[in-house]
Amino acid sequence: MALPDRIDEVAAALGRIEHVERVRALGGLLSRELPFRGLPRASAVLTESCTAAESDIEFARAVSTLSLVAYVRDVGSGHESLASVRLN
Amino acid sequence: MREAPSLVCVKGTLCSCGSGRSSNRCHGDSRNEFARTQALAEARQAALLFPSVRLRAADALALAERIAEALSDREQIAEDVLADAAAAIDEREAHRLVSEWSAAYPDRWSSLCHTAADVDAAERELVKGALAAAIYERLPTPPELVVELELIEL
Repeated sequence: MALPDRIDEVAAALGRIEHVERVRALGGLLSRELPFRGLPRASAVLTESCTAAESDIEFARAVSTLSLVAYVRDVGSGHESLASVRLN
Repeated sequence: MREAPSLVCVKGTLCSCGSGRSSNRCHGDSRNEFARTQALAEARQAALLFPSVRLRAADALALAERIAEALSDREQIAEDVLADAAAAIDEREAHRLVSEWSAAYPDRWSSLCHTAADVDAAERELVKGALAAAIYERLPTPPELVVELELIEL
């Protein structure tokens, strides 16, 4: 199995109900800031997503898993950058 | 919050933590200061790593809200502000935070408290971490992130 698939698999396995609840809680807090002035597209996407996270637990679970995957990739790319700095 | 067991470390005597080692080779050893600091830092960071370590009581969340409103932009929370606010959190809420995490990770908590040599301080740090998480979650979303979303081709 390719590494990206493994990351997805591990992220899904690590996800617990408290991660899902946190996504919902953060969605609720983000909703209070919406809409962002001068940013209609972003506001529409965020409004739709926050509503979906609140009403659909599977959507919230998917966001929680994707957040972990994105974090792992971000950390991974940071390490790659650091390695290249050292090599140079 | 319960009283911390006091560790009396007299040179040449057994350490009162119950390890069976002499105090100057256990909690009386000044070289353990770094480990103690690290253990307390780990207690503080529990909320960063575990989303279950979150405040739930309405008055505690309202306190986090007020502190977040008073912070300008992404400013760091002053340590004295955090300490005072954490001390104002209801004892039952503080106890719930500690007992839930320590029940989920009993070995880690036990080890952390042993290394910190101060259960009360470890509990305070965990509560401060939960409060800090609640405050940071209530800060405004950085505008640059939203702008990025506006510009993405969906």
